[in-house]
Order: sequence, then structure tokens, then C-alpha cells
Amino acid sequence: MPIYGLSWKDKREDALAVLAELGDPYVLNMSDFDGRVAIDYGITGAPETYLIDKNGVIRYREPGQLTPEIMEKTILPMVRELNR
Amino acid sequence: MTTVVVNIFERVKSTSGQLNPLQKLGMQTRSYYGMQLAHLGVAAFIVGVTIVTGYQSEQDVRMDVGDTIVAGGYTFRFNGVTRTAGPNYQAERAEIEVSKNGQVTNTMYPEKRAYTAAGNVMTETAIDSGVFRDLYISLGEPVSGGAWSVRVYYKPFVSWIWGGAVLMAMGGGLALSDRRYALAARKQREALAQKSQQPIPAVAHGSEGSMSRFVIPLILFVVLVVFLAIGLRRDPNRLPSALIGKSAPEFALPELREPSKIISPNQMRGKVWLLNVWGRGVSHVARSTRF
Repeated sequence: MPIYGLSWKDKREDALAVLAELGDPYVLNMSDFDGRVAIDYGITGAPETYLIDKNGVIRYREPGQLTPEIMEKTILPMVRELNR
Repeated sequence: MTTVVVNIFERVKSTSGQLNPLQKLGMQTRSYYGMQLAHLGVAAFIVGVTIVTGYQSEQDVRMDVGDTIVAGGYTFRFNGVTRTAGPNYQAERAEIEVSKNGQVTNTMYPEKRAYTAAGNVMTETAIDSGVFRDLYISLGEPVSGGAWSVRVYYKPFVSWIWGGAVLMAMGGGLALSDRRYALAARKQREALAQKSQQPIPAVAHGSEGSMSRFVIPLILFVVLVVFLAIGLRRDPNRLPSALIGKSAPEFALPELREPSKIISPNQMRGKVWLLNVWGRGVSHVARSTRF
């Protein structure tokens, strides 16, 4: 499951420090320093996660922490469906 | 306060009848006890205000790790600041040991919290509330090399101000619950009914009037409570996103590690992917598990 990170409103050094401290699970990270993209996506706060399908359509939004439970019960089943 | 005790004593003495003092105490009306309670409240309030203004002390100092300051007979020892993470904030938390006469009484943890989502910093004052004094510690700014500016307040008898107000309210409630008020109201209604020519409808009308006087505010109150309860239950985050089923908004952003590389969503065409927005101080996916 590829996860792309969007570093929101953090300075590059700060964001890199966080990745160094907590680990980096992302395929790659984008830097949205001024938060413009986050506005386009209607983000209410970090963390927030979007599931996007093969055609670039948003299928699901998870406000808040991405827990293993949400991952197993909601997101992964949808991903299997979308990959079919 | 002495007046209250003396007054109750005199009142018991002057109550006639062959009863023991305790029975006489029981004979006093609720409005009488309500009055005494409310006056006790006023006294407590005044005691609180007077002592706080007269004896509070405040220290605003720079503290290195291990430094101590004294305020109101309490010694505060600064044990340094650690970083902690809350659910949606990063905090600098100071540990301050409070002691009196060489005995450690408490350890307090004032914090400086940085909320990532809203991007603001809040000071979380440590409060130790007691019957005879309140202690407040707030963490200022880091100065240099582990030293912080710390503000310590010693406020005696603050809870008496609150307690006084509570006593006044209780006194008022007790006085209102006196049966004599209800009786007087009934008498008034009956008198009204007798005066008018049609006693029965008048009585009905009278009781209706007083009913609606209580019922209408009650209904309004219940409606208000219901609305507030609904508002509390609704999690604004759970509102469905307007974007579901729509194309992900385009963007072109630099890659974090290699800023020369520009990333945009159409590069991900043909695969199902997750976009995880994260910010400093928010534990991100790495914290949970790897998928």
C-alpha cells in the first residue's frame, strides 16, 4: 500500500527532523510549506488521510489518526475492492 | 461568622416550649436557615477576598535546573523541562517540586503546548487548589541553557471566594423551599378566586397562569439542553468530505528530501494510493504500523 506523505506547514528541516526521529513510512513526501494544497483538500487538521483511486478520484477521507484498526477494517477492504 | 452562631443560639433560647435545644433547632424554618447560610457565604467571601489581596505573593524569575524560589512559605524547586507529546500537541513540561518546611508536598507540571493543527502555543498553568491556599505555576519562555522564566503564585483562601458564592446560592435555594412561600401563594390564588364572580374557572385560570410561569421556562430550558447535547455529539470531523467521489485537487509540490523533484497527483495515475497529511508534533503513520 503506497502512502504518500504531505508535510503540512512545516519548515523543511523540521519535517526532516520528525522523519528522522519517528521513522519514515512514506514512499515519498511532499512539502506544503504554506499550506495552500491543504486548503484545496479542505484539511481540518493534521493528521488526515485521503484514499485516492486509479483515476485520481478521492474515495475516502479519514480525519485524524490512522490507526491499525481503521486501516484493517475500512481502508484495506476498500483498497482491495478498488484494485480488482 | 460569630454573629451567625450567636444569632442561632439566641433564637433557640427565645423559642418557647418544653423542648430540648436540639428539637428547638429543628423547629426553625427553612427560610431562617437559608438566611443564615447565605450570610455565612457573604462572610466566607469577604474573608477570601481580604486575605487574597493582603497576603498573596508572586514570583517571576529565571530558573536554572535545581534552582529554588520561595513564595508564601512554600519552596519551589525547578527540576528541568522535558518534551512530551499529547494527542494533538507537543509540550514542554516542567517538573517543579513543591515543599513546605523541608517536606515535599507536591510535584507540579506546568506546560507550554504547541498545537500543531491550529499552529498556536498555549500555556498550561499547573494549579494546586486547597482549602487554605491555591498555588499556580506557569511556564514562561526558555531563556538559555535549560533555564526558563517561571512565574509562581501563592494565593491564600481563594477557594473561600468560590465557596462563599456557593453558600449564598444554597442559602437562597433553602429559603425558597420554605413551605410558607408555597402556602402564601396558594392563599393568594384562593383570595383571587373568591373575589371574582366565577370561582371555578378563575381557580383554573389562576393555577394555569402559575403553571405556565414554570412550564414555559422549563420547556425552553429542555429545548436548549437538547440542542446543546446534539451539538456536543456531532463531531465536525465526521461530516462527509465534499471531495469524496471527486477528482483529487491537482498540485505540484517539491519532494521533501529532493526539492528539485516536483510531485503531482497525476503521476500516481493507475494505482490506488493514500495521501497522508502530517505535521510536526503529530505522530504520523510511522507510529501505528507499517502496511
